[in-house]
Order: sequence, then C-alpha cells, then structure tokens
Amino acid sequence: MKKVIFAMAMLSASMVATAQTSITKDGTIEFDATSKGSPEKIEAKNTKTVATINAATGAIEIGVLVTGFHFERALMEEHFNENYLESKKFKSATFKGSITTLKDVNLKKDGNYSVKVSGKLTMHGVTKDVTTDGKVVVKGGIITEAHAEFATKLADYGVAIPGAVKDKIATDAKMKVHLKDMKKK
Amino acid sequence: MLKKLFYFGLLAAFVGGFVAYRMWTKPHANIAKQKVDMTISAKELASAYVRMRSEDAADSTYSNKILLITGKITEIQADSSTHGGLILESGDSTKTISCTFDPFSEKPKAAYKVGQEVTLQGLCNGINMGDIQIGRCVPVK
Repeated sequence: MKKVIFAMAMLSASMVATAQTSITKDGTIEFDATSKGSPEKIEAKNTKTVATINAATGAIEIGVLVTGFHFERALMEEHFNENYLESKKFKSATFKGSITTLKDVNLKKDGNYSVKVSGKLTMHGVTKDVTTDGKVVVKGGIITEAHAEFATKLADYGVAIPGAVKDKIATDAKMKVHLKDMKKK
Repeated sequence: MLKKLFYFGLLAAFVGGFVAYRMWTKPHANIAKQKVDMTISAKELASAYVRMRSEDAADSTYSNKILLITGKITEIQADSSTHGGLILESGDSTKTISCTFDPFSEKPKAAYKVGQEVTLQGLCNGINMGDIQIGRCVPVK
C-alpha cells in the first residue's frame, strides 16, 4: 500500500513539474564575433531556437541548428558553416542545464527575476561548462520569457581561426539568447 | 621587359582584387531560382522523420535539400524583426514543421490564414528538438 501511495505521489509530482514546463520554437540566438579591429561586423542570428524551461525544477534545454544562423554577407555564412562550425558534421548546438538559484526566487509568483544559470554547452562537437546570469519573466505559473548573455572562447570548442583573419574575428564570441512568447508545453 | 612585367603585375592585382571583391559582396543564392530536390507534403515529411530509425538518418535524406513543401497552416508566426514564418500541419503530435520566410527575399505580401493550404520552396535545415525546420522559404504560386 505504501508503495502505491509513494508511486502515486511521485507520479503527481512529475505531472505538476511537467505542467510548469514552457516551450518556444522561435527563440533567437545572436552570435557576434566582431573583433575590435574588424571593419566588418561578424554577426549572425538564428530565429528558430527551440527551448524548454521548467519553472518548478529550473531545468533548461536549448537547441539550435547551425545552418539556421544567417549573416548579412553570403560568404561569411558559407565560411561559418563550412570552415568554422562545420555544420554538415556538427549540425546543432545544445545547452542543457538549470537555474541554480531556484531557492532564492519564487517562480510560482508572476514577476521578473534575475537568476543564475549553469549547464553544459555543446558546440562543434565539444561540450564545456557554462555559467551565466539570466533574466526570466513568470506569468501564470510558467516562464514566458528568458534572456541571457555570455561569451564563449571559440578555441575551447575546437573552432580554429586562420592567421589571415585573426585580427578580424574575436577570440571570444558573444552569444545573446532571447526566448519570448514561451507557452505551456 | 621590366615594363611588361610591371603591367602584368598591375593587371593580375586588378583582376585578383576584382575577384575578391565580387566574392566578398556576392549576394545570398536566390532560393526561388534553385533547383527543387524534392516535392513533399508537410505530413509526409513529418511521417518520414517518425518512420526512420534515427533523426540523423532522416536528416541525411532531407537536410540541406531544397524542398517544395505543401501543407495546411496551423500557426502564423509574425515577428517585427524578421519576415516571420508559418507552421504547417504535421499530422504527428511529436513533430512540428516550421517554415521560416527567407530574410534575404522580399517579405511575402500574401495575407495568410490558419487552415489555408500553401506551397513553399525552402531549404531543409533538419530537425531540432522535434521541430523540422525549413528555412529561407519563399511562397510558390
């Protein structure tokens, strides 16, 4: 009997947690690897970022297809896919992590919250730990918006910059994540 | 002889500079003029991703291919910073078909309605967390 009650409690807890998961399939990630000396902006945007965030557990999952990043210049986009991120081999970049300051904020209550996020970023086939500050908006028991900004050292992910363009491409790429209009999953 | 070499060098530098400039400023490929690799319905595409043993196997068939895709609109995605996109009926609760309008082409003028049947030409980027993404879409009459 105790086992049945425990199983039922676990099931209802997992159902409550699932009910607090929000999802977006049109989040945006902006990539900026413009170096100080570069005459051209090396910027790209992906507006088809898929992300889920659970307000109860703080779990975050973000996925983006590398070929979905668009640059103003066609040649930059070509080099980004073929030479740097090798999108045919490593088709996506993912982040799996969580809100680590969950106990300091009450995500059951509507409002805007500053949080800390930590997790594993996989890009170009390499996985590294990432920790950053973020902001979330809670409405109706779910997270409806989330924003974060962080820098990644391209060399850490095995992205080699040829000597000829070293002064034009920043060693640390800035990533801006904007997840809005998130809906209940 | 030196004069000839000088003029040859000058010409080579000019041609090289011109080629580099043309490459640097080349526009994005006109997606509407690209050869269609496959004609498929949104439901067939979703079902292929469900049927195939792995997402990688399905991606190797459809990813980086120009698709002429037809389907019923289930959602219209409007965004002031992009040309937006359409979600097409997939017929499978675990998959969505997201078509994003080409940011390098003119914004489609058509007023789309949910339930309307559309045909779009775009580049399949593959699947991302259950979302089959067709980018750079242009409407086909």
